[in-house]
Amino acid sequence: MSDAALLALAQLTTLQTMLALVAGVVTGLVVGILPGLGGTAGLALLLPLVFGMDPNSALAMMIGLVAVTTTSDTFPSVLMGIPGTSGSQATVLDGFPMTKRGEGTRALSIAFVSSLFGGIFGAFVLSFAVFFAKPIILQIGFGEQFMLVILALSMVGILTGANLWKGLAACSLGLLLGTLGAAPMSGVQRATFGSDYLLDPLPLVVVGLAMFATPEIVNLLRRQSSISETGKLAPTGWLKGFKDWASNWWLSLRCSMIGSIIGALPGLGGSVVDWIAYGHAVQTTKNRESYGTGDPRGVVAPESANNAKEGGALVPTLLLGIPGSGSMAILLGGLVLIGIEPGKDMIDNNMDKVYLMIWSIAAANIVGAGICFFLAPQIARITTIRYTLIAPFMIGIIFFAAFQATRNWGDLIALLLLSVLAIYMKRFGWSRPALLIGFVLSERVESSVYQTVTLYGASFLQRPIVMALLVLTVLSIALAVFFKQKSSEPLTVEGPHSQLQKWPQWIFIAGVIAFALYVLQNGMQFNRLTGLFPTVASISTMVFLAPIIFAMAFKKAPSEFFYDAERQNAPESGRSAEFYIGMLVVMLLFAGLVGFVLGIATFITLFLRRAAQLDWWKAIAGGAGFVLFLGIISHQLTLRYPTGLLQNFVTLPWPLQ
Amino acid sequence: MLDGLKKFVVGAATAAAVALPGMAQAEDFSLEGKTVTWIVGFREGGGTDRLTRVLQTKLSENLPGNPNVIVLNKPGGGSVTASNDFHENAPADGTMLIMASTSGLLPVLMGSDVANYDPNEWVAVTGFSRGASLYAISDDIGLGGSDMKADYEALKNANIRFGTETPLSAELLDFVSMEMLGIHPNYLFGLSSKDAEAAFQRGEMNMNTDNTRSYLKDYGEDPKVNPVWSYGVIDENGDLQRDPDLPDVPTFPEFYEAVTGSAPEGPAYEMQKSLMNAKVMLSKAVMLPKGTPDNIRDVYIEAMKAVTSDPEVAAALPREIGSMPLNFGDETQRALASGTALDPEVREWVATFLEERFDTKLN
Repeated sequence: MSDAALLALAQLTTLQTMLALVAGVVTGLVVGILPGLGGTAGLALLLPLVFGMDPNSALAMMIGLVAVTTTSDTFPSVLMGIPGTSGSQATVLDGFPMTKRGEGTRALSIAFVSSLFGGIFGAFVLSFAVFFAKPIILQIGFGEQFMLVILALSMVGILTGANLWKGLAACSLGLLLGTLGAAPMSGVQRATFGSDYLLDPLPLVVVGLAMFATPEIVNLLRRQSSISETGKLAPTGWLKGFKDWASNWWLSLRCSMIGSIIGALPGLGGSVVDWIAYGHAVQTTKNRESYGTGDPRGVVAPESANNAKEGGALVPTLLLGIPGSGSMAILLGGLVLIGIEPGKDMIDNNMDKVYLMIWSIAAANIVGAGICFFLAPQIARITTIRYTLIAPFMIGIIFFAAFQATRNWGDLIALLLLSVLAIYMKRFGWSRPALLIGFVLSERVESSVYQTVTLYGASFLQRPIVMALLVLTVLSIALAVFFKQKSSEPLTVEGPHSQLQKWPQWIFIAGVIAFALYVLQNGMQFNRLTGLFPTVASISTMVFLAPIIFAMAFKKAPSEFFYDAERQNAPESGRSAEFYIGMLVVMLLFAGLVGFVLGIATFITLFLRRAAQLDWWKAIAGGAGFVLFLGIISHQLTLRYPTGLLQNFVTLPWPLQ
Repeated sequence: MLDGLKKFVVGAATAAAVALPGMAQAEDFSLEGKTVTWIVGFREGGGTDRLTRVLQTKLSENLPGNPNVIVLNKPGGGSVTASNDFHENAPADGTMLIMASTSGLLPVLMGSDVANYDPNEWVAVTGFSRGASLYAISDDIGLGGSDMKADYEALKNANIRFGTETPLSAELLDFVSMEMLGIHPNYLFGLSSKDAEAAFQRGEMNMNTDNTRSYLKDYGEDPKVNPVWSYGVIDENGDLQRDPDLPDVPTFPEFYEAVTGSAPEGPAYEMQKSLMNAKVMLSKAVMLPKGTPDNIRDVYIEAMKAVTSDPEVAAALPREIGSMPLNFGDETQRALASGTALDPEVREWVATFLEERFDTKLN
């Protein structure tokens, strides 16, 4: 055992392998920073290179990449409020408010130390797990997976926002969105709105960007001159961030454990790890009012967990040859390409390769966090720049990111529609994290209930792990109920909780009901295998809406049921949210005419000229720069941007296609 | 293995003979300075993508004019999205090809209304066959492995648990085969092949299907897991032979005949054969767009022969597809015809079967 470990260390520390590792780390950092691209896209970028490469170098390069995407994805999450990968959605909740206070460097510092700690912890777990984890993983059957999903779903209780019913309705709405497109058990397309795009379910990337990125961009455009409200960066952030982490090391350790366990177990997948860690942090603290307003613990938790999960996800990938996440599936593909086949054979005969991966994870996390620390002071300065200069590029990037989901026009349209939903959810106080958790778990809820009941009936409840998970779930719900968070805002007639002028909220609720009814009538056309879940999800949405509608109709005093952010601190000079929604619609329509690349470039140029009042030549340079960026990416990743009517008539040269 | 290699050589020679007449025209076709786009209807890293990338490394040097060859991943709808687009828009000038696979052929075979393409109109270059078998945890079902009749009785009476994605996925081959024999497993849906594989490893499922190559890797040495039958391979004369990697395992028709006393026939067997062609013989297939001229086709057939016999590629191929023979040109086109079309009576049989067994409609 130790022989293999030492041999692997010797293999890693050759110049060639080390260079490959660093190349992988740098690529991983770049794709992590770019929203929408993550480990999956990064590995896809490396695949053409690894075939025929020296196996050790290829291995170090691929692992180096996967290990650090969740380190650098913190930059957009913390500095821009745009989740860099789906693993850092929860980081936005507290990281971004810190940045707005001018504490961007402090938040980044917390995140990088946590990522480093989590990543090394993950490698540490992996080095033991390869010997004993197999029987444990094989114990996690359908019943246990079902309970894991329910436990994860119970985290919604803590993230409902001020009003429980609105939170539950938001979660239900997420479940409903998850039912669109091909049904998991029958493949039948349901509730497709007649679109080919919904042959597959809605992509998580698109929903995540719509929920968090667009509302923030619109909000910032309306209110602020720069992301940092003070227009400055607190100079002492670095040390402070490290101290924040050190005083929360126990939380960081717990969340790293959560991350590596959930990464290793089948049933949940990596994309909820950050939410579970965040929920855990909130549940286990008494004074939880500060969460969501820039609490360092809200950064420590998800960032520790999302790096630790990579080590965890390698456990089933290496032991059983069954990938533990989307990026692990590609990694497995890459391993096969270089002639390494994970599974029993690898553990028996190629232990040095296993150790090479473990060392690589640890080394990559150190190199990755080091590079991030080095770059961060420069990058964090972006938060002091006038926001109108940044916003058009951000809009370009989120549409580019959404397009990575399935590389289809539908991605852009789905992003726009869901963004409108999210903008109004924010305005009317509906919990967007609750919707996201519902959405992520939707398919798993549907299939694991069916599979467990079909296979075991109710007898699955007698299994010991199921019972333990059940207790945890009850505890999690109890914690949510007993320590209910109170709204920080006073209930006044003048404030957002006013009972007056509720018609915008009525329109929103009517929209949700119309959507639920559409899914309901569609679901009832199908057999049980296809139609049961959408039917149940839409009915539950309406059940959760009932108390809200009741309160809306009869309550005559300010209440937590009511919320309209527009009634409070409406910006004096800024434009309305509807103006910016209209702007995005026009931009997409124009892109429909001239194609995505030219459409975005024109938008950026006009925005820089009109809104930011730059000279024409600077505005044009901005648009052209973005075209160049898109061109380089399309060349590197071999992708084609959505075309418009224009492209039916003329063939444009690179990079204008 | 040797057997497979021999067939490969024979197959290649036959196809070479077919291709010869076109050679004269092929001389003046060149792709110099062009970019050849190779469409893959799946995400990076899956089986179809990997095979394409292995072949991609050597394709350029074997094409006239050594064009730049890129792989373009267009995931969506199990490759239906990419296939629709390819059928509609791909230029027939040798600058675009597609790596088709079973999951792109099945919707056509089943007449799904989302598949607006007909692979029969495409021009076949190379087909990659990949063996498949049905295997089970022997003790759990009561399979002895020596007496087919006794095993058959056990299969009919056992509580078989078989995990699969949907009633219309590629496992339909297994459903139909078992239905012909009156074997009725409990099917559990919503499991991708990796989920089904994991559930089988846990013992929650006790029957599974996979390609022969994966089966041998995962369970070749495991005495507890044994194949029930393989789906064999069709040789150049159109006859079904045993899987070269599983020479001791009976093919499905062999098993059928041994336990029922007569050879399989009728619409159910026609369906079984079509599914076998789509799943085994055309596990993956390199195709050019409809209307591609013969000279371009012949250039590609020659190029793919050279690519697949390149030592580096030949060493990687068994990892991806096992050691079954490749098929080229007309032979591939024939398999395609069988794998994508059903006679009306066969279609009627399968519609009734799906309706009765799974409450599922063919659309």
